[in-house]
Amino acid sequence: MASARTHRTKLPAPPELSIRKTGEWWPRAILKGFVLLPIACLLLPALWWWYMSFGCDILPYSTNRLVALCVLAACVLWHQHLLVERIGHVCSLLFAGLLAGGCALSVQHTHYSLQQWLHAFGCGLFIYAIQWAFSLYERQGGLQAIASVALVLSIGLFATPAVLILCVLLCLILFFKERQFAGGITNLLLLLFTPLLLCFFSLVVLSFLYGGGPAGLWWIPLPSAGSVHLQISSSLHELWPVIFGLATLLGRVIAGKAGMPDLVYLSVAIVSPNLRLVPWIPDQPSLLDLSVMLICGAACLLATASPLKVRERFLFLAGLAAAAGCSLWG
Amino acid sequence: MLADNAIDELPEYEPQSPAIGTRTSSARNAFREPARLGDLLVEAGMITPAQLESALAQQSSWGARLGDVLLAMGWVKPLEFYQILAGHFDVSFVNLKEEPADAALFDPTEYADYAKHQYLPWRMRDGILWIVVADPTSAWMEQRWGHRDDVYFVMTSSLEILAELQRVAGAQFSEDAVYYLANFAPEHSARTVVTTNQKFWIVGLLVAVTGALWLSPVITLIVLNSLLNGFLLFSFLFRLALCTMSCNDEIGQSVSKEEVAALKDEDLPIYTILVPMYKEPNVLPILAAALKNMDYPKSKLDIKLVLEENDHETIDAARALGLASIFEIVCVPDSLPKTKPKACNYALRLARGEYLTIYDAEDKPEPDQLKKVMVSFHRMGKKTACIQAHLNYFNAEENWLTRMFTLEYSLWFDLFLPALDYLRFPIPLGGTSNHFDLKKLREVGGWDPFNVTEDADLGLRFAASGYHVGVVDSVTYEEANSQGGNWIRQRSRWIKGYIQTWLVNMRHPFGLLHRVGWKGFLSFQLFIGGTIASGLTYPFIAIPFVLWFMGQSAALRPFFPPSLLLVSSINLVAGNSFLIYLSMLAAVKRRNTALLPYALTVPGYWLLQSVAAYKALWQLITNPFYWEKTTHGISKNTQDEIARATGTVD
Repeated sequence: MASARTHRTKLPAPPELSIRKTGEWWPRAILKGFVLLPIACLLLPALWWWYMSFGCDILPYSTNRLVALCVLAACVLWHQHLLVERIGHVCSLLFAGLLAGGCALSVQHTHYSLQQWLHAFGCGLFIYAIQWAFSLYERQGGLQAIASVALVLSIGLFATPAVLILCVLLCLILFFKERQFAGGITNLLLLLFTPLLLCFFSLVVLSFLYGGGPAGLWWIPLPSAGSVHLQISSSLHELWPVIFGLATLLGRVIAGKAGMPDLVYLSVAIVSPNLRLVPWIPDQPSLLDLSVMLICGAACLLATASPLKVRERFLFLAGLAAAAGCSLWG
Repeated sequence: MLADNAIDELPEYEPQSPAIGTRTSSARNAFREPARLGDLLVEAGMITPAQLESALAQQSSWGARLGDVLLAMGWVKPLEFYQILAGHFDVSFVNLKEEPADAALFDPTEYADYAKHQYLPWRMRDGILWIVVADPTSAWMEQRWGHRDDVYFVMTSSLEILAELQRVAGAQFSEDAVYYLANFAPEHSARTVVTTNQKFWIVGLLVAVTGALWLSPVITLIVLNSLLNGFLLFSFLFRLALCTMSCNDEIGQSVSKEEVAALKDEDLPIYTILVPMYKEPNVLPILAAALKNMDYPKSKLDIKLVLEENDHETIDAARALGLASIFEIVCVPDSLPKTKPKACNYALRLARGEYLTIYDAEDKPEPDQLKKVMVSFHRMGKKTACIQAHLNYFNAEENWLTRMFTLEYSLWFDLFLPALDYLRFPIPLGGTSNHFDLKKLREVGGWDPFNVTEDADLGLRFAASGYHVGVVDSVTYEEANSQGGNWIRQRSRWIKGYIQTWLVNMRHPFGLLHRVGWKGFLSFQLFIGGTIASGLTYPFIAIPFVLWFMGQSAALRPFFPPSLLLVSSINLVAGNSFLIYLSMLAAVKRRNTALLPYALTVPGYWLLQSVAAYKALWQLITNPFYWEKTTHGISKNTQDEIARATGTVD
């Protein structure tokens, strides 16, 4: 009786939260990974056996082919991110298709080693993740965003130290105002940099355990593109990442969406090429690293620009199409 | 129904009240003039005019009866009040201690109704059934007995009725408290620790592993290590994902003050609060003060102190504090297993609320917790069976152990559970402050007295029964264990209970998969299974490191090839790193940033967890149902709390 009356008390409905805001995709993805990884572990030896027996003739191995496959996979993941960010299906497909096309065409013209590509992908992944974390912070602030930035910083170990140091400095500047929230500057530093320091510590410990010091570990950033010196190229296919980046930035400024991630992107784009002026910083970013960082950064800026109006979608589409066109033309 | 010889032994009774059909209307008319009853009480010198005035004001705000208000405020003694009330309704009053009910008239299928509606069949004479009631005017009584001309009423106090019910049905309640679930749903009971099927699988696996070790020891160890490490890695990642999700302030049931204020007291249902205690007389004042501060109409609180009948010191302490007049003291008959869930099951049979919660003796729930829970139940819909409040500690700053415990609880209740709730994955309930829809609790068979973490088990049983368990952002503060030995005892019980829960739920893994879905199933494996596995395997993962530090890494190479050493080491180093960071996040989330630097010492705390895990495993084999009692009231802060609370109670 009484409870029936309780249910008559009018209470407001709880707010609906989007998957983008809650981050619930992450535990779900891990559960999927928990199922898929053992399957993959079982399938990989079979695939390897198939490849060694028959596949070598059909799909001869080449670095560029492998990189192109990786790029394709990355574009599929980007498409998923665009969908999560509520950019429409058609639009997401067009964006991802254009980017995949531009990258694939560009890869054809390059002659980098797999190691150099891995290094560049590490940089790209880091830039993408850190910009996404900054956009999260800008959108909703709070502990989730700070934790995301802190966790993403640890991915910086995959990137060049120069870029990582730059991002650490940016974090210090941008998050200084959060010291009250964290209960003091020491706590803020602990909150922001503990994952990075612990990962670094773990890697060092593990590399020594593995034998031979840090260089013995395959994922420790290696001086990858030492032979590839930074130079301004006249070739359009090498310039298209710059065009893509500029077009995306311009699009965000016109759409009134420019903010903290754009600042990070600009800082990376401007400061990274000039890090050579600071000789004590090891492992300077190569041209390939820079290109991949520019592309990944711009891709993240585009993804986090939602919600997009129709004309804004066309604007970004035009920019991406122009960049991809340059890649094709060049 | 009634034995012939029983009738012969009954004394003669002159019917002093007519059947309910006529009596109810006149009694109700009397009830609608509260001033009359109030005047009677004032005339009798039981209350002052000021108290009457105050009670009348409270009556309209609570939507309760005057008598209930006066009893809840502790201004009248129950027995004396009911005597006046009986006179007011012109119904005979009986003292059940002197004139007990005829046990042969009791119908076991109606025990729940007896407790809820507070009546008992008392005597049968010349075809007239005499019923002893606490409230002859209730609508339920009229519906149940109104059409019967052969039913007469007498009155007594509600506490007397419950005491008499226990006298007659106590043995049955005690039996049911232990064996009901085991008989009603044996597949959910931990009475059988390992089923025959499970024994078959365990033996089969052991034979297979031994055979493989004999044939190829190195490869076997590598495979086993890989599987274990892979599982632990995903368990860590899953927890990390849950935590980062919960760092969003909008995750979790947040109930605003406005929503609480929007609830009308008169609409609120009766709420049963169970406080199981055993040899903890010193912390009673904390509980009494906390319950008196609850923002809930006191007349709608059905508070039961659940004590063991041989725990005289606590019973005496409760009576000395005068709690017997406000709270009901339920004495549980002595039987094995002597566990908290058994005591709760016993008290469950006497509960009369629509909702029920459990508090530990030293708990300090936030005053508006019950109302917040009401809002949450309303929000979350009919499939919600239970709402868990957050737990935390009031003595966090006492020593390293209490700080670590506080960090752990913050991690668990502020970060893990809200995310599990949001994702609608199975939630292992915490020890106290779980608020149940009583009907659903009874439907799933109550607590499992053979499971030493009956709360975690119940949360999973709800999930397996298609119900949802939610989390509300109201905190109950408890006393953190401040002594190592006490901590190990408590933790070993928890881990033993987790193993029992895992074994019970994995009796029919495909059934569980079907009932909770594949995501819920995997969440259960990673969360519950991961907790057990991490405690038990921590030493094995740490051993390579210890040996490495001792300079014998080369000896490990055959068993730890580089790739495996990598995964294994990541689990130890990175796993601990993540735990450190998650604990930091928990400190900030709980706004207890002073604890943030202490998160760096979490690895040491997890080593203790491992010690407890092995104790738990040993006990599961040797003494599975033994309840490792946690001693409360040993903290210095608790002594301060007791002193403060004693002042409040006085």
